[in-house]
Amino acid sequence: MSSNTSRRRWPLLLPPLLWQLTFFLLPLLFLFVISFWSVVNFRLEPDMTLKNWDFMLSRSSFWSAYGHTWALALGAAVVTTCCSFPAACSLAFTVSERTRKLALMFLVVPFFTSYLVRVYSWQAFLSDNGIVNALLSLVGLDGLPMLNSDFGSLVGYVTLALPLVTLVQTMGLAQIDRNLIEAAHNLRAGPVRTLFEVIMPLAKPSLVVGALFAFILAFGDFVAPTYLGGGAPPTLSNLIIDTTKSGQQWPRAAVVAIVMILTLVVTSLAAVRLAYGRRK
Amino acid sequence: MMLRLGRWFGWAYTGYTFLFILAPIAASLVFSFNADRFPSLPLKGFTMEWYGGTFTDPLVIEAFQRSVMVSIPVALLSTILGFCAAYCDFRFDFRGKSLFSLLMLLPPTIPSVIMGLGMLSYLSRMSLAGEVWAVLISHVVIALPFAMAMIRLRLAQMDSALEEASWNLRASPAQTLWHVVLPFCKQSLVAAFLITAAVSFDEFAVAWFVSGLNETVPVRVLVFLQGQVSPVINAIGTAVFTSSILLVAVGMAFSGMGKAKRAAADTPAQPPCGVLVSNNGLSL
Amino acid sequence: MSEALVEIDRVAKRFGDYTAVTETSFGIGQGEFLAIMGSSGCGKTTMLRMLAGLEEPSAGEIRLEGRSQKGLPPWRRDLPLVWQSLALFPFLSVLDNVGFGLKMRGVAKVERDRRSLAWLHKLELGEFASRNVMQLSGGQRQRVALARALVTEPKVLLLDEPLSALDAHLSVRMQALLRSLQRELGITFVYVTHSQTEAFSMADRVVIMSRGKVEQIGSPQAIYRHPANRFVAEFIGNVTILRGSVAEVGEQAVRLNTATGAMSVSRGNFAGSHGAPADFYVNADQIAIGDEPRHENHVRARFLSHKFIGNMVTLFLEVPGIEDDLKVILPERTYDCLGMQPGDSVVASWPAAAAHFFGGAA
Repeated sequence: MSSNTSRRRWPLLLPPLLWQLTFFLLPLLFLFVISFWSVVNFRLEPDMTLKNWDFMLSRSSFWSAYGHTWALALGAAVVTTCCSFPAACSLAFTVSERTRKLALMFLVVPFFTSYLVRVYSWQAFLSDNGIVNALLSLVGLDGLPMLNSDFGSLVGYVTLALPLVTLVQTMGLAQIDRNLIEAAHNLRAGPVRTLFEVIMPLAKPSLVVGALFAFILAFGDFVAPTYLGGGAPPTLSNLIIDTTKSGQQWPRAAVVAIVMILTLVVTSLAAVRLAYGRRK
Repeated sequence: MMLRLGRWFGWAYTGYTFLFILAPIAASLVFSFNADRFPSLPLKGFTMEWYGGTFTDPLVIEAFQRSVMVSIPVALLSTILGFCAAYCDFRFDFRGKSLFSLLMLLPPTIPSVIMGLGMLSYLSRMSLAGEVWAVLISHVVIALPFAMAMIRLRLAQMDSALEEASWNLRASPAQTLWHVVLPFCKQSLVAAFLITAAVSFDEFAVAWFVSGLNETVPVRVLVFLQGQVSPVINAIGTAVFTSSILLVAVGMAFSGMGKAKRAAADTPAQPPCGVLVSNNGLSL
Repeated sequence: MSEALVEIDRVAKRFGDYTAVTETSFGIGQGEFLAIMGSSGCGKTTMLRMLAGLEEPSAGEIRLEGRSQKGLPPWRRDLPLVWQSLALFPFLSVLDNVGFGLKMRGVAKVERDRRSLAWLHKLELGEFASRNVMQLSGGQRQRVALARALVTEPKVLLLDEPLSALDAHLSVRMQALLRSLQRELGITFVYVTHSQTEAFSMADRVVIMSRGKVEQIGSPQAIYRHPANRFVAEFIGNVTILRGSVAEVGEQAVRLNTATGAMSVSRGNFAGSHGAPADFYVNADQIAIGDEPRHENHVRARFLSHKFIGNMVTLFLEVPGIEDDLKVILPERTYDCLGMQPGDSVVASWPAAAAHFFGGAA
């Protein structure tokens, strides 16, 4: 049978494999290749030079953008995880199966609305004479500057990541065996201790994976930092867009892209290890 | 008492979370009918001006046509390729299988800016950048994992004896694929088609990099966003949202029928008549 | 062997380092109801899957009507299988499920439906033909699976624990149905089960397997009366195994010295010599209980406990010098007459004809 199945699997295996190799892996590898090429007269020329790497990595502006992006993405991961956890607990433990399904359906709704439109909508909320400040002035408070700041970026990131993170956390929490929680109560652990000593350890993978999703989404997003964060100081994705769109400096943009990919790979591996590592 | 308080607090909090998630969507709906050019309170009055403006703008119309033209083949191709990949992952054991699955599922985790840059530089070497083809190819790469994941979930519910039973009744592997596996996955195939179409219809970053002058709807929105304040964005957003939800509702109706069938299976003695009729309609 | 319909010729199956079936040969006759029995992981299902072609033997070959099935994929064989999970196609109607095998053989729709419907009527499922299989009850689905396998008129039907999911009452009814179907059709059934009741009540011959090895093949009566070895004896559980050393080999019986005194055991084809240690077993339903010995072999024992199985009672007696409890099976009426209480001292006795050596009798 084994020789049989190996002949049978090629017609099914090859199409998706070739497609993703040709149009996913090769483009990414090609980025690595062109990071050593040069631009002559606005045209890409094959070359073997380190000057793009040197140009980008020796600038303090690059490293400050890197630090800024990292800090924003980490902030987004922490804020999103903390914001969604109470809601996820509530949905996983205190409502009926039916209500939970309905709620999860509402969490899926944002996936079908344009992120761009939602960000544009947030502008209306956060601008200096926007909805939030209008509400604040109704209760007699001074308006706050919110648009074009890191706070604005964070609102965008949370908008992007919160539905997904809540979904992941709720599903992770809902899978916890109720008997374990009852056992904890039975062994005289109160609600708070049960939360920290039983629920949190069991839900760790979903918490970490959710946070990782938020980090990845925020790390690569250019819409929120541009249209809610004001674009200054730039994030790495802003840097890629500026470098690509103005001046055709694709090799330099490729350098930024590779640094981003490496960062994400290392972060993901660390997170996966944190989530599933000490479980044997 | 404490517990009940905590419970109420949790519900209230969850309500606020949903408010946060749904507020921008609702606001864009409201402002799309607001007479004031600038989105601010209080509202100025009802108007259809922005919708009128949107759907007479030749750029928007063109973008809309292009999006449809792209998303249908994208959905078809990603669903087919996604099915192949999901079935290979489900059925066969081979060396490097986990690498294969990783390669299939990875694209959505790559920041779209990087995908865009990679696609742009790679496809321009193949003289495809700036063509509709470039958008199509990139979108299949991004949408395929969604199709694969959905179909793989469905396959996981399939009793492995089902295929063996089919072979045992003299159906060749190819016949088994056609007569057993595909019918079993039918609902998930429809759902994957709808979802991948939605993914393509919504994707703006990679499309922005590779489309050149061939703008799709979200790329057009991005261009509007780069310009000055434009209520047209709300109009487009609301229109696209409504049609997406309709698509999803259709998809849900499909899987909903599946659920009714399964519910009927749990009570084999006396299934309600309505369910019975719809079942026969489906199965014959 | 040559007239057997199915020949299993020195077949073995290994998965990597794990041996699922060690080299095994036996034949299955035309029209025979053969049960393969053993606990889980004994290789019985692997054996069945090799017959169906779902696993390829690592060594040896399987012949159907003298034709080697080697290398033949499952979809080229005519050995329909009824799965434990039934493996009915959930997206097809009852009728289309039954007609699936015919469709794959290229039988036209009208003829296919006619033959499928005929089988559904035969199994009293005619009214459900257009239903979805998921709407049927467990027993009804069982019969659909049976119809699906039988509609192609095979010479051999393979069944993999088909009744294990049914409740006791339904299982008994299905056993009767299977047995009468098999008689009526005159085809060969190969029936894999872990249940002794199912195997012994339906099969003409039973194959007992353990850890990939065939321990005994024989009619239910033969296995019950004369287990081939210690494993079968313990598996069937209706005998007590004793041990002694040979004192004297007579014409009909062998005298042994045991921890509880001298005993007589039917000689059969026993070939041990004087002084050699030997295991023998005593059939539980041939032991008499009373205050006085009634037979040649007797021991004094203490009554420990009892359990009811149908209208029979199994007693467990403690005998000094014997590790296992002595098992005695009595009709319930006899047990009531004895009026024993746990702890009572009794005398258990049995004739030499009730005790045998393993593998001794044909």
